[in-house]
Amino acid sequence: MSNTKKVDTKKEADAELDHVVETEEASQSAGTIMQSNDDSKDHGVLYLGIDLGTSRTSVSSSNGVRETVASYVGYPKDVVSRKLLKKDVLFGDEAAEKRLSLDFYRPLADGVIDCNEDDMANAKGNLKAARDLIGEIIRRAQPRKDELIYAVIGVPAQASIHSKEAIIKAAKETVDSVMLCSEPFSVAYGLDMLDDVLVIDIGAGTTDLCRMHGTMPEDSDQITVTYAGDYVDNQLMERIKEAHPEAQFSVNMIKAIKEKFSNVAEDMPPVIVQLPVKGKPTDFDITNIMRDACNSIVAPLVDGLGELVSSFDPEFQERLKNRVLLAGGGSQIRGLDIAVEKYMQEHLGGGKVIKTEEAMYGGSNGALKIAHDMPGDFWEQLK
Amino acid sequence: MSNAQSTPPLDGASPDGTLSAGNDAERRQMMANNGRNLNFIGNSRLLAVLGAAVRHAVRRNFDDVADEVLSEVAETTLRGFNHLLKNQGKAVRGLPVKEFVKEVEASKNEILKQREQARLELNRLTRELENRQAEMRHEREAMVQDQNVDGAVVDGQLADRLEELFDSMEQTEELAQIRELVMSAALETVQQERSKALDEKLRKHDSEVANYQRRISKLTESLSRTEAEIIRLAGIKDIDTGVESIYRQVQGLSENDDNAESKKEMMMAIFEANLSLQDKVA
Repeated sequence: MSNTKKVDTKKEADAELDHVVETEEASQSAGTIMQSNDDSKDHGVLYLGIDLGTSRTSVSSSNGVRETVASYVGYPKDVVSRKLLKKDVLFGDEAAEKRLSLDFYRPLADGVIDCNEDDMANAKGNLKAARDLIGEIIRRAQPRKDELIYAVIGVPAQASIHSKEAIIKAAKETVDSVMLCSEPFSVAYGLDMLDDVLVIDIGAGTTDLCRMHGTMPEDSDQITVTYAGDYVDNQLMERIKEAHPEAQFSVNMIKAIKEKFSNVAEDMPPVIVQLPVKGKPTDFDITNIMRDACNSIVAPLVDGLGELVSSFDPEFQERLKNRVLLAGGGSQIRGLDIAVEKYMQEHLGGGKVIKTEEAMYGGSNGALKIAHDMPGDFWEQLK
Repeated sequence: MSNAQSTPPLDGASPDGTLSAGNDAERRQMMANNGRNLNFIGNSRLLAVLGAAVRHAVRRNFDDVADEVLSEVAETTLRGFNHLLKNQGKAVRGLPVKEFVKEVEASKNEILKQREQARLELNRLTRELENRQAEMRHEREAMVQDQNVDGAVVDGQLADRLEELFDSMEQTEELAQIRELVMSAALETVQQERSKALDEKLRKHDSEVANYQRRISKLTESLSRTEAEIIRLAGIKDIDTGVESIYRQVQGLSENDDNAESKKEMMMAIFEANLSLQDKVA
């Protein structure tokens, strides 16, 4: 206690305290300014991984937000519907629900933006819809205005150059820097399955088959086929029409039924659905129809796998066959992994299929990982 | 090429650092794992805790401290702490986002009301000024005209009266000179006085106009300030703070990654493909 200075009066004590605080503040001021600058939030980086799909568009972002929206865009047809809907543009399920009052677009209907120059009006509409859809999914990721936004967008493996250009143009309106990458590659990258893997990414419009062998897949490593979700819907429609011509339904009703009951298992539970017959809801047993429709993509997909396997180094073909990764929305068909394995056994002499746990966000998670791993100067050069 | 170490994902988030916005349970879990807690403590409790801590610190660091010394040290510390709290503290007001937006909305409505009032006032004044200016123009013209007419009559009458006066006198050569001088001086003086009176009237009119113009310019200025405030408030209301990224800086591939080399090549390939694509777009 000997070094403790005694202060006689309260006033003097207060004055001394103030002096001590002022001195400390002065001595720390430089450090405080430095720290303050360091804390300023003008250099945050938000990474976005976007899966621009035919059926759904999903985003995973480095702020923890993950969102998905059906890839539908609609614009009110006229002033009356605009007043009624109170919006200039509608997205996702809301657009699908109100499509009768809208100019309705499914901008990535065939896996790519439809930019057919023979139908300029439709091409323009599709491009605008794609642009708005990209803007919307980025908005849903809730980026801060004071952060840099770097996005990687997964596109179908064989998307046309025209589509890619359109996507880049659309994204650049909202983000600071953007890169595209092949969708099946981003799925594999997200799961760190980069070596000796065959990826089957089943979307709505297309299925991408991709051979991963430790390097960036080239064109010869990728096959895009149209045996995908929409193909199953069409099969289901035709088969129901054939078996139950009295039943009335639309493609959206069939899609909803498929999403609920899709299954290829031999012992799948019965699928009883209600469809109107002359206006009266009627039960139909479509168990076998559902199984057959879903099974219709198995053979062409395994044939595609066979192509990729057979053109690979014979020494590593076996390893490739034993690492087949089933991804995308279509991988949610129950029992599909087993059905593919079985068909591979019959036609390719064996194979092992792994199903991704996250069908909805597999592509966007992978794209996010790519965005994260991309060096900063690459992003800078693409600004 | 930058290859900064990657920041590990947040606890509770998936390995890619993502979490579904729609999943409240997951978000709450993440908040529980990563959020910072705010502890509240009352003033008396704070002082009691501080006193106990001071006593503890003194006892621990100094041997044989008398109780009265300990009490004095604690008391001095608490007094000093209280004093600094009062002097150094800053009063802040916190509002939840909804309340904040509500307040901004209320302010905006108030300002909109003020703007409307200012606009109405401005319109009224502008109309009044235009009317007054027109009236004054007429008045001015009338005054000048009246002065010219009346002035000529008065001048004539004055000249006649002076003529009569001089005629009644004995006519000499000297008187003739005086007569000319007086006539000219008298008429000049009368005309000057008349002109002064007119100038005074016109000055009053001008001052009235200037007053109107000043009021109009003040109102215009106030209106433009109101407009600026409305724009600012609209900006505040539209601020979507968004969700902050977990990264402050560009990350890049970690050198510790098992497949760092092959991934680097892949990143390079993606970059080159995109560079060539964007060159085409440009």
